[in-house]
Amino acid sequence: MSHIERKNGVVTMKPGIDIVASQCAGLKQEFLEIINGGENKIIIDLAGTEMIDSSGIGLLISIRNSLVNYGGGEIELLNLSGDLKQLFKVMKLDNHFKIS
Amino acid sequence: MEDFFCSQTGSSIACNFASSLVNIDRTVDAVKNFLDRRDIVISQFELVFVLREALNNAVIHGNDNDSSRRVDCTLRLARNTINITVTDQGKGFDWRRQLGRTPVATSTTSGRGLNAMLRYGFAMRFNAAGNTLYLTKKIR
Repeated sequence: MSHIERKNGVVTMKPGIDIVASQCAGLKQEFLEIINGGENKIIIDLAGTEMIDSSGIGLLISIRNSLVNYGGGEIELLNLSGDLKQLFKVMKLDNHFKIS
Repeated sequence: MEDFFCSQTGSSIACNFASSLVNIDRTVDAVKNFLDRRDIVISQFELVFVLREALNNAVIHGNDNDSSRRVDCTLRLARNTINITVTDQGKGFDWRRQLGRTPVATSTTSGRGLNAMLRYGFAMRFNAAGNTLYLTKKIR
């Protein structure tokens, strides 16, 4: 279960686990609860996340698509390790997400 | 047959498991443990990412998440290379067509796995049917 904080209209979600195929169904449910609750600015804190596989990348893209394309929302990725920053670069997704 | 089992020699680890996402995690943990005890120079992140993609493809696409079908995964350390073989019990796929595809758009949620393995510098080949994947990368 992710750690979730709400402050000034922004939801910060910290999964604290790897975002890989075996975890995607549970994480997707958590994201949907946030989005369906009307929140449209989400920060995903990736401290504690060592690995994201292509299923996890697909999940993050689908959340971004829901927020940005249909709700005018924003998604930001925070506290990525060097390896994860490189992964987004290798996958040519570093300009698709706001990465801090 | 057991749900999951692995065996090791000094230079290889072989895992065989019933298709499930949890068993992918178990295989990755076993391989990480195997590599932690050996003196090789390779990015463990890159290796684990590529291994996960290969196993995800075998379980999800090859075996269609059918737990009665099994996946066989072997990692071998040779003098200058690391070699991974992943076999599923599905009918295979047209890997020639898949490898020739244009990379997916940034907003597309799937279809990145094979491309990602190549981008991390792993040489890739398949058997004719497409249900065995061979990956190789040079190591020091």
